[in-house]
Amino acid sequence: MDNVTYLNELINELMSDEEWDVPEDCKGILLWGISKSLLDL
Amino acid sequence: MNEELNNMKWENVNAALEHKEGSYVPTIAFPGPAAASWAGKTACETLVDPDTYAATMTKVFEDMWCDCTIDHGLSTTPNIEKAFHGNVQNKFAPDGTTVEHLQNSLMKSDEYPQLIENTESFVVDVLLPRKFPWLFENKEEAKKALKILAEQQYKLFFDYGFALYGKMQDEYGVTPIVGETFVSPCLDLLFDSFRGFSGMLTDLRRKPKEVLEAVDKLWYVYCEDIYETPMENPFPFAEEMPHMPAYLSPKQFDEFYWPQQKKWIDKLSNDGSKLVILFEGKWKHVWDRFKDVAKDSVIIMCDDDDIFELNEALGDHHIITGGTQLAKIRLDSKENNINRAKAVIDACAPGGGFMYGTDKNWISPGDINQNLIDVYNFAHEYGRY
Repeated sequence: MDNVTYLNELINELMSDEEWDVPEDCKGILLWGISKSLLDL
Repeated sequence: MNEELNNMKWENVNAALEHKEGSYVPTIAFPGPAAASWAGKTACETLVDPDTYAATMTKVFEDMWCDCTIDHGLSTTPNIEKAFHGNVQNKFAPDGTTVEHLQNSLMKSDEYPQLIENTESFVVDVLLPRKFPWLFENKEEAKKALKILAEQQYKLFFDYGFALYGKMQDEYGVTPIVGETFVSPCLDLLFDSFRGFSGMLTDLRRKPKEVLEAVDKLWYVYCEDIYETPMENPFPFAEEMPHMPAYLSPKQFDEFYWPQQKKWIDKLSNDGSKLVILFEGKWKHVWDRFKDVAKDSVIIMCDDDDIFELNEALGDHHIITGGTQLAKIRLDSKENNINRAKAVIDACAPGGGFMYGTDKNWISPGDINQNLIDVYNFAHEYGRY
């Protein structure tokens, strides 16, 4: 699996993780250009 | 809430933004972690709960007259640093307050073709594994880190951010003039996120064609959608914190920077908004370009330029903020700082379109000190129209 697919899969799993009990807006942060956010960390 | 006071402050800010004289010259704060220090805490100690955070970060407004701010608050937390094994560019210094930026540029000089060919793949397949190899080797650890990142950013920008901005506006009548929209000509993006200071300055001379292609590609990848989408609300304004122009010759500025800079200014002006630009360093060599965009489309935050000269050159055409030099506030006497404030207000206030502020943001303990408080309060009293 290439890294782009891996990262997308990771985000999808987190978005549908029902045990991660946080507001939707919190999960939504991971959809806001996460690769660029990680690069800028 | 003192509605009358808050309305008065807003009316004066609004007058300045419309390039008119209100009843006084508004003061604009550039607060950040130093606000915690003024309240007797470290920035890290404010991250207890939203109310503690808001109360601590706004304490300065009890002592200092402020009408508006650029953004306020913290942009990272120690938990983010910990979750990413300390390998982050923005981290708290040992004083627990100053956020240090330790630039760690990951792209190599021979990787322009990959960046230009497929930016997303280059970032995720090449740069991120170079920075966080474990993110792609240990899925559970990666999930844990991403959860912490999202939770901490949510805390800062939603829970704590709403509490801070609410208290700042409701209790102190201090209006943030910039909102969530950050824009950037892509030479800065290339500098900030990919090549860093030394790489960028070398590339401009050795690989100008690749730099130009990369700038165009980054615009397409990261800016085009924002550019094409009308701003939902024209206020608060968009913000730009550029780094490159001070290091560009006028010719390089025209070639690599100004076309996208002008696009952003024109777009925001057409949307009925304005762009707040920190002229970081000195921009005198390119001031005249800003006469070619709509009047009052830019709010210029004066940094190291001579504010008297800047006001002469652009004060009739755009809105200017500045006048206080943080270094002089720390090192010079109160009397000398107040005399300078008088001279700045005498020169820049007539005609409106001016807000009294600082050249740099307030990031370290001591950036907010009694001299700064006294000068701001003096500027408010002296700057009557």
